[in-house]
Amino acid sequence: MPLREDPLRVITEEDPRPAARLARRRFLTVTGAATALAFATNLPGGSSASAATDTLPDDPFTLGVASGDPLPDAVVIWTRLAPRPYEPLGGMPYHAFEVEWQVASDERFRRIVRSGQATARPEYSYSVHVDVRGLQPSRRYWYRFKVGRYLSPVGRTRTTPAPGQRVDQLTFAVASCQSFPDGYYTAHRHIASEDVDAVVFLGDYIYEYGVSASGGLRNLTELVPSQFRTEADTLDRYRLQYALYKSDPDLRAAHQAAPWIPTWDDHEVQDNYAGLVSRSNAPVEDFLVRRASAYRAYWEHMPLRSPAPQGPNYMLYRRFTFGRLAELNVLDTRQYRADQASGDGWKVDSEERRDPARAFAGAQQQRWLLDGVRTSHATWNLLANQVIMSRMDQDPTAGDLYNMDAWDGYAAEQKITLDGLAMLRGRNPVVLTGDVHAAYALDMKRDFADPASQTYGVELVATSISSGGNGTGVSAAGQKFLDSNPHLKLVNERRGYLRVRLTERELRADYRAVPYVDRTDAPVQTISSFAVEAGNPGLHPV
Amino acid sequence: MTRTLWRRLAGLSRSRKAAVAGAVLALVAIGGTAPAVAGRPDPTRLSLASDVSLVQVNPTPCANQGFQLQFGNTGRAAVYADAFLEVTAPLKLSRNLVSSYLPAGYTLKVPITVTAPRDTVPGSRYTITVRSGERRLSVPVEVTPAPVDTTGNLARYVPVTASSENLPLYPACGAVDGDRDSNHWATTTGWNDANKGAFPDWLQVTFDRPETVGRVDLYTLDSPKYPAARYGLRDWDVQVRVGDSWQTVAQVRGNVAGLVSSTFAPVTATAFRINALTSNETAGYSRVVELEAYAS
Repeated sequence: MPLREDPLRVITEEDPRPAARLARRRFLTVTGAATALAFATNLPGGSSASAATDTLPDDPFTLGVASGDPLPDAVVIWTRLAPRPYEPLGGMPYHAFEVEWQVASDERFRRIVRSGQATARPEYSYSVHVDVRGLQPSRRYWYRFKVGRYLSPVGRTRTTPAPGQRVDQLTFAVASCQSFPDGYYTAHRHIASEDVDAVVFLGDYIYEYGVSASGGLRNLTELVPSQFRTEADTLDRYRLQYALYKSDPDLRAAHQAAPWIPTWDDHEVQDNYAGLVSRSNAPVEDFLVRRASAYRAYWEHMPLRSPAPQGPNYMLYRRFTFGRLAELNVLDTRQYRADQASGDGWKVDSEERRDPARAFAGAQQQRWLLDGVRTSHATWNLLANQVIMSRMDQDPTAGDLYNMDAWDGYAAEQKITLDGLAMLRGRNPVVLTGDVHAAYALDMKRDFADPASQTYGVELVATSISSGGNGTGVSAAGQKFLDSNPHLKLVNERRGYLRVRLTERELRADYRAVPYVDRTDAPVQTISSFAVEAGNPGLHPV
Repeated sequence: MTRTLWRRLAGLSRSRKAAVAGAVLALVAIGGTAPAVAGRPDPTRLSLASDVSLVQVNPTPCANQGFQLQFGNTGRAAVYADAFLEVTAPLKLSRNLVSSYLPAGYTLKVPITVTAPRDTVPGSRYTITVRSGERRLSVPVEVTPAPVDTTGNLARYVPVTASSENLPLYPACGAVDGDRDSNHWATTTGWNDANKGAFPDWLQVTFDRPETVGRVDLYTLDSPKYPAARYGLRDWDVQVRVGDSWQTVAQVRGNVAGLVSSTFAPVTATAFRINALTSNETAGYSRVVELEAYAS
């Protein structure tokens, strides 16, 4: 899997403040002392690190590097050792390996500000998650890993601004839904070349389905091996799926270029699962085993903090603050939700849909979200959200038809959340959403049935990276949405991502799209832009 | 998907009950796993078992056969555990590693399929070995003699591939399984590609040795529920591979029938394929219930 052109070839400004207090260490002489071990586990009969003489059969950095969950003083850096990514254990010997890492304030690693060793263990598919602490806020850093004679690609990352800091501008790329057989990840190549503060990924990073030899629309000449034909349902199989997805160099490039703040939706486990309920209504006992394996594989392949999920539960919802300019609330609306109402799909209103006993985000997350937005000191309050939060009616006539898998399918919690956001003055809520493989822009209305009612926020829906194939402008279904929802200001069903730029005065949303994904190297273009004025909620076409 | 495979394997094991002497005794292992919950280390107890005591393998590329691996945690703490699987060459397993979270007292059941090439020597010299930690499970395998087609259909019991497969219900293997019945559609007995509205699609049969082909019969989907005129293939080319190059030997256009028999001057080929150009459904799929080839 050769990397294409290095996306980090552009030399950016060097850190003007050398980290003088930190001893510069030479990569090869670092020992395990005073380093952050990613896995402080005590394993009976478990893996222990090998003697350094054990050699790897090949370059283990085939899946690239990544960083994520940035804080003012910290960021997680990630890699996974997999010399032969489609073989059992990724082609690794069945024992732990020591991995050296470095973080520098310059691209050429002249000023190394942190370094150490981490242990890549088979229990975590030889992934490494180092929570690098002691960094400076609002700074760009470069990082790399080393095992034996193999050096990883260099990743670029960035810390968040200091608490209370005044911030002139922030840029996020917002992406979701990257079915491998549906096409190439060219949109990620373009994300990699944008200078973003973070990539916010809203779920469906993998799809659990089996993959045919030709890789679907990719029409590969190097065939997808036979172990990919079955659906991912066990830990080894989910790991394979991540390895396949990360074989796309454009995805690796997007990870390499900026820190990611990811959350999951359904396909990281199974299509439209809901909490404890699988799509096929498998016994809960069986489904929770599958969910535990899927959650573990997700953590293993994302730049998330330790500890790893242990068992079928994992707390993924969390918050990031970018000085006084923005706060990002990352939601998990899959793990805690009740089963979809009316058998899922697009359905009319029902008692079940409105049943207040049916959880969606769940009471605890719900409170955490609204408390957070209420006490926030940031100008913009962003929600990294999976499925559409605003009302979306699919029936252009007087009747209503709602998506039972979206917030609309859980009307009681939807109402509490929307009312809660609407009552908080001056918080400038911005909901970032994925799931639907289409670019939408929505005004969030106090009464969606009344176009004259108050607008209190905006929902920006990013289209898919690849899911759905080449896509189209506005499909017949998309036109139905436009006809049924006056608060819906944009529908576009091409593939791409959303770029959000924030200043104290204004949010600007640029919908970026590629014309095709069944071949590589598609150009990107801004197909639509909206501005939102701080303190004056609502979308303005630009 | 797993559930479907499951059902198929379950049916399979029922159908050869005579060969099943009962579940293989569960072996208890103290093995190399990680505790799921940090805390006092407890010895890990794992069990490995198979639902059958003997796996019978029919040496054809599309045979659906194997066993159910029962991977259990008999200890008191949840673990993440790995089981490694191997089989005597030239047999192949659908997977060589099963890793899973295993709560205390839980047994994971995983279908494992076993395939063998057609020239595999029949007999009982083959074994599947499963290892987890210190524990080991051996499951004997008996390879039956390769089936011989008596109808002259050259597409039976040889490898089939496709541009894409709509898995799990519509594998390419379904198009060469001897089942021409369109009423069995959506039960793995026919091929449907995976890319709606995208053409061309291809479905290819590769011979073990060069064969003389003079006729290709294509059964596209055609049932009272799914008539060919609405859901079947409309246009396709029949191509044969001679040496390294593909030659088009027949073209079908505007078809609305369930069966089209294309005859042409017999040619010695190493493979043949149909190159599907369009379906009778708007923005549709390629659907082949059965594909057959004959000398004449």
